Amino acid sequence: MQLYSLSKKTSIAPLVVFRLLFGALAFYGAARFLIKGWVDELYIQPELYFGFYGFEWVKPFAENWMYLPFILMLISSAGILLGWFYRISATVFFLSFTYVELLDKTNYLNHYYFVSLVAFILIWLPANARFSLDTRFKRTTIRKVIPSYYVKILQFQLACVYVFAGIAKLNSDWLFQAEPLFTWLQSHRDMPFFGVLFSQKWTAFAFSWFGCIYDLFIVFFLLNNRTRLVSYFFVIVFHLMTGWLFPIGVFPYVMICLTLIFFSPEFHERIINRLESWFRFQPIEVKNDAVIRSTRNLYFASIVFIIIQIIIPMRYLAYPGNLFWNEEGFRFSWRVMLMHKEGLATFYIHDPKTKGEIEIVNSTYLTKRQEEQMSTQPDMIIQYAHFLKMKFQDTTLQIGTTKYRVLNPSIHADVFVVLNGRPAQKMIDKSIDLSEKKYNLQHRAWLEKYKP
Amino acid sequence: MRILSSLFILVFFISAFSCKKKDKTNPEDTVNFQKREMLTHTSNQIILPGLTNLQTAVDELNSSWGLFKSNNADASFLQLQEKWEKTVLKFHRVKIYEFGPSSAVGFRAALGTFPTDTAKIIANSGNSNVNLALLVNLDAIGFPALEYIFFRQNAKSQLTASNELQAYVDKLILKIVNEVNTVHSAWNSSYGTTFSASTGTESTSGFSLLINEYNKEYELAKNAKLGIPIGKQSLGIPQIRYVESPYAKISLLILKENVLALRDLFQGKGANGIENLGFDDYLNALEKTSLVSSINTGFTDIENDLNNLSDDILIETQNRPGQLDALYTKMQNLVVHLKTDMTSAFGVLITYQDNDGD
Repeated sequence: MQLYSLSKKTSIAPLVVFRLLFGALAFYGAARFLIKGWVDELYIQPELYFGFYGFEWVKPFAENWMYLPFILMLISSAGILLGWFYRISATVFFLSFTYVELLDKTNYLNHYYFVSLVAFILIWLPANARFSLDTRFKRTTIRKVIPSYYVKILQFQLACVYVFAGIAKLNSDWLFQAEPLFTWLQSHRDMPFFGVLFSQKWTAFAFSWFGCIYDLFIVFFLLNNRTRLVSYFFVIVFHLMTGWLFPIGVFPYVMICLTLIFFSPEFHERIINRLESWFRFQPIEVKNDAVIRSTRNLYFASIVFIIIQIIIPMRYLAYPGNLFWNEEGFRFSWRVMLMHKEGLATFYIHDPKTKGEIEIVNSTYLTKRQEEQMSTQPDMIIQYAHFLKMKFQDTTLQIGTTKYRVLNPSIHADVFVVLNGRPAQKMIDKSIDLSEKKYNLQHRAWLEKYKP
Repeated sequence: MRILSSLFILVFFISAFSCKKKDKTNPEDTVNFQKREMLTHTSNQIILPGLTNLQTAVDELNSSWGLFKSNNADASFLQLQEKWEKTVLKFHRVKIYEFGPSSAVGFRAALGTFPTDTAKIIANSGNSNVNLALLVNLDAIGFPALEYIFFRQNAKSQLTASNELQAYVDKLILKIVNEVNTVHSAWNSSYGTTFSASTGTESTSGFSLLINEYNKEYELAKNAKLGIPIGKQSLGIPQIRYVESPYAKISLLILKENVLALRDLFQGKGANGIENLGFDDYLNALEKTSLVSSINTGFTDIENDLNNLSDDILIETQNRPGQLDALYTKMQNLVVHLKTDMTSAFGVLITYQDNDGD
C-alpha cells in the first residue's frame, strides 16, 4: 500500500507565506546578532573553539573576516524573503548559518539547529514560484499548485520540535519535582502582581504539566480544522509567556510565525492574494501543473530525511546511564529548556617529574559562557583537557628565578555539577588523566555515576 | 474533535489550579521572601555603611599624611602606617561590589592591584607629569603602592628625603579620595535605589551582578591572596613575588577581612553587626537549609584556620605550609557550594546571551 500519494497536490500559498516569514525572521536574527556585538564576542575573541564531533575541521575565519558569514546571512535571507535568486539565497543562507553554528558547541541551541534544518529543506522547495522577484523578472515559472508533501515536510519538521520536546518532558524531575521550572520561575518572585504566583510550587507544577501536554499534543490540534484556531491561540500564549519569562530571544516569534504552516491553503491564499494586489503583481493564470519527474527523487529523499529526523533524537537509547548527567545523545534532540545544570570544573596540570601541580584559572583560556557550558558537559571537558595538554606539553615555566621544563604532563579535573537543584555531585574524579581519554561518541564509563 | 479541544483547555485550567492542594508542605517563607527587601538591606546596611567607613578611613589617612608631612615625627609616621592598615581593611569590606559606580571607576583594580611595581613607582615619582589614570600604571597606584612607600626598609627616612616621592604620595592619596567619594556619592544618591529595585534574572540586574561579583570576589580571594603565593599555580613552588602585602606583612589579615566581608554579605550582617536578610534567608526560603549550614560551617572553618595563622603569609609559607594548604582546600570546597549549589538555586544568569537552557 502506498502511504502517501505522490500526485496529491495543494496550493503553493502556504509555502510562499512560510518563505516570507522565514526570510524576514532570518534577516532580523542575523541583524540582531551583528548589532549586539556577538560576532566579536563569540567568534573572534575566544582562543579555543569547541567543535562538534566530526566537524572539528570547521574553523573560524581570521579576525574580522568572521563578519563575512553574517553579512552573507543578511543578503541571503533578504534573497529568501524577496524570492530573489531564491535557490542560491537559500543555499548560501543554509551554508553560512550552519557554518557558524558548527564552530563552537558552546553556542548550541536547539532552535539554531531547527533554523539550519528548515533552511536546508527550503533549498529544495520552489517557494519562489509565486509572489517573488524571481517570478516577476521571469526567472522562474509561476506555479499555483505543488505536490502537497512539500508543505507536509515543513509541518513534519515543526511537529518534530514539539513532539520530541514533549516526550523529553516525560521525566520525573519535570513532572513530579517541577524542576527546573520551579528554580527558574521563583527567580521572578519580585515581579509586580505575578511574583507571588511564581514563588509557589504549584505554579511551577502547573507550568510543567501544561508545557508537557502542550508540546505533546499541540501539533495534532493544529492539524485539525476545527481545533486549529483555539490551538493557535495557545501557541501564541505559550510562546509569548516563555519569551517574557526566559531569555530566549527571537525563538518564540519564530515558532509563532512558522506554525502558521498548519493553517489551511485557503487561509494562505487570502494572504498571498492580498499581498499580490498590494504589490501590483499580475493575477496568475492557472497553468497545467504536472508533477515534474525529478520530484520523485525529492520524495524519496524526504522519506530518508524524515527517518533520520526520527532516529537522531532517539539515539540516546543506545547509551547506558543517566541522559541528563552524561549528556550522551543529548543535543539535536529537541530537549528544550529541560534541565538546569551548574558546574565547577577545576583543572590541574600534573608534572610527573616534579610531582607538582598547576591549577588552571579557566578564564585565562575560556570566555565566561564557554566556561559555564564546559563545566557541565563531559565532551567539552575532554576537549578542553586536550587543549590544555597541547598548551603545557613540553613547555618551560619560569617560577621565581628557576626554570622548569614540563615534558609530558597529565591533565586532571575536579568536576562538581548541580543538576536540577540537587546538591552538587562529583562528576569527574581527579585521579583520571583526561588527556588520555579519547573524544568520541562512545559511552564514557569513567564519569562518576549519577545519584538521584 | 471539539471534545478534544475542550479537554485541552480543561487540562490547562486543571493543571493550573488543582495542583494547589498538592504542595501545602512548605511554609509561607517560600512565598514571602522578597529579593527587593534583601537588596535594600544589603544596600543600606552593608554596602553604603561600608563605603562611608572607607571614606572616613581614607580621610583619616589623608590627614595623617598631612600631619606627617608637616612634622616628620616618628609618632605621626606610625600613625600613618596604622591608618593605611585600617583603610586597606575597610577597602576589603566593599571590594566585592564591583558594579555600577564601582566598575565605572574600576575600583577593585585602581585601589587594590598587586604585586605593585616598585621600580615603576620610583620612576613615576620622578615624572611630575605622570598620568596615573593610565592602565599601565595600575600596578603603581592604590593601597599596594602606598604600602611600599610607607613600609619598605627605611621607609620614613627615604620619604622625608624625597620631595618627589612626597608629591607622588599626594597624587596617590588624592586619587583614592576622589574615587572613594565618587563611588560613595553615587551609591548614596541614585544607584542604591536602582540597585535595590533591580531584582530580575537578567545578567544586568542588580541581583545577578551581586551574585556574579560575589563568586568572582571569592575566587579572587582564594586564588590571588592564597593559591598563587603558596604555589597552587606553579607546581607547588611558592611564589613570593605575588604576595599581597610583602612590606606591611598583613596578607593573611587582609584575606581574613575579605572572607569575613563575604560571609557577612551571605548572612546579611550589616556594618552595625545586626543580621538581617541575606543570601542565607533566600536559600532558606527555597528550603535549602542544609546548604545554608554547609556554607556557614565552611566560613567558620576558614575563619578558624585564619585565626590560627599569623598575619604574614611569607612566614607561614616557611613555617606552616601544611596549614596553608589545608586552608586552601577548605576555601576550594566552599567554592563548590557557592558557585554551583547557591548560584543554581537562585536561578540567576551568568551570561546575557540568549539561551534555551540546554
